[in-house]
Amino acid sequence: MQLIIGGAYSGKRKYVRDRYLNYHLISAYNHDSIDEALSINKPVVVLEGFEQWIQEELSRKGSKEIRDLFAGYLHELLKMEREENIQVYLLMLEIGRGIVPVEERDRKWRDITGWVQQDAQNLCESVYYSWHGLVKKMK
Amino acid sequence: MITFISGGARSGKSTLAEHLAEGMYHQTKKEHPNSQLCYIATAKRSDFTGDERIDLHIQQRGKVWETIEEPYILPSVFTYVSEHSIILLDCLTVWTSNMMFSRNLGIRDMEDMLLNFLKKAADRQCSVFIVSNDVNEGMPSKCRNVQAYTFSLEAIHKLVIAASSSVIQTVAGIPIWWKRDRRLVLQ
Repeated sequence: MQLIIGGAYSGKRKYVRDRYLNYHLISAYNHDSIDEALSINKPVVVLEGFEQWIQEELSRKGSKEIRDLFAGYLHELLKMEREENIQVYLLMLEIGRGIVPVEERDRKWRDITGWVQQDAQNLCESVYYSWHGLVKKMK
Repeated sequence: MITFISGGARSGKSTLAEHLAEGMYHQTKKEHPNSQLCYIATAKRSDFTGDERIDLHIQQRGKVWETIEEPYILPSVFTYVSEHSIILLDCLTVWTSNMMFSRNLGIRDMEDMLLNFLKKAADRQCSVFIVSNDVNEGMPSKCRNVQAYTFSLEAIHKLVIAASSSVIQTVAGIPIWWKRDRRLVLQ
């Protein structure tokens, strides 16, 4: 499993596009559900928009519960990758570098997103940081 | 030679850019005595409460710098700039905002103008240092204008980075080199 993390429009999807002609994109921005990823048997599966999926859970669950939920997804994805011999790419948006949000809900959103990114980083064999279209291997 | 420098707020990008530009100027001056050290300020005077802050910055940079205030038409600065000069453009975030929100120009117009600016600089054998800001790593905004601005600025960053032989990200004043031109010496 590979993680590409970077700011908005920093070239995360392009990194995958430059390497694969065909990949299956599961995008929160297209209103896809993260569950869909677990039933797909394609050679390359790309997931993006984790912060959106996290945001959808904010009103329903507490921080720890949401973090655990996503940790569960990440473990499932890793298991799927190993068992089905597919490549999983996680594209995650860096949102932690601005001013601390005024609203409590936004602080919770930002915190959980950061924790999920750390959990993803732990499970991924490679981690890349994208910055204005350039990509650096961090792990 | 083009150098792109970006980083978070107060990460030391302008200080580093000024330092690098001054170093290059002193080197260039030996061979090309007519070379100038030019600072292109993109902020409009009306952006500040009074002109005090601008004048303070001009004073702080010292006599060796010539300041050209140009919020929009970057290629026009070459009216004042001689060959082999060192130019520091500070910064792309303000310039992009001026172009989008005061002049209603789109990405293509901005890209064309920047390419024209860089070509004129290359024709005159000028070295250019371009400073910008990482504004895309904070909380996503729901405001359409902010999203459009971030998208345009990222497109411009990618264009400048493709043209640059040195690309530096600053963290607490420390340069992280994404691309490095050996001619650029950090003293």
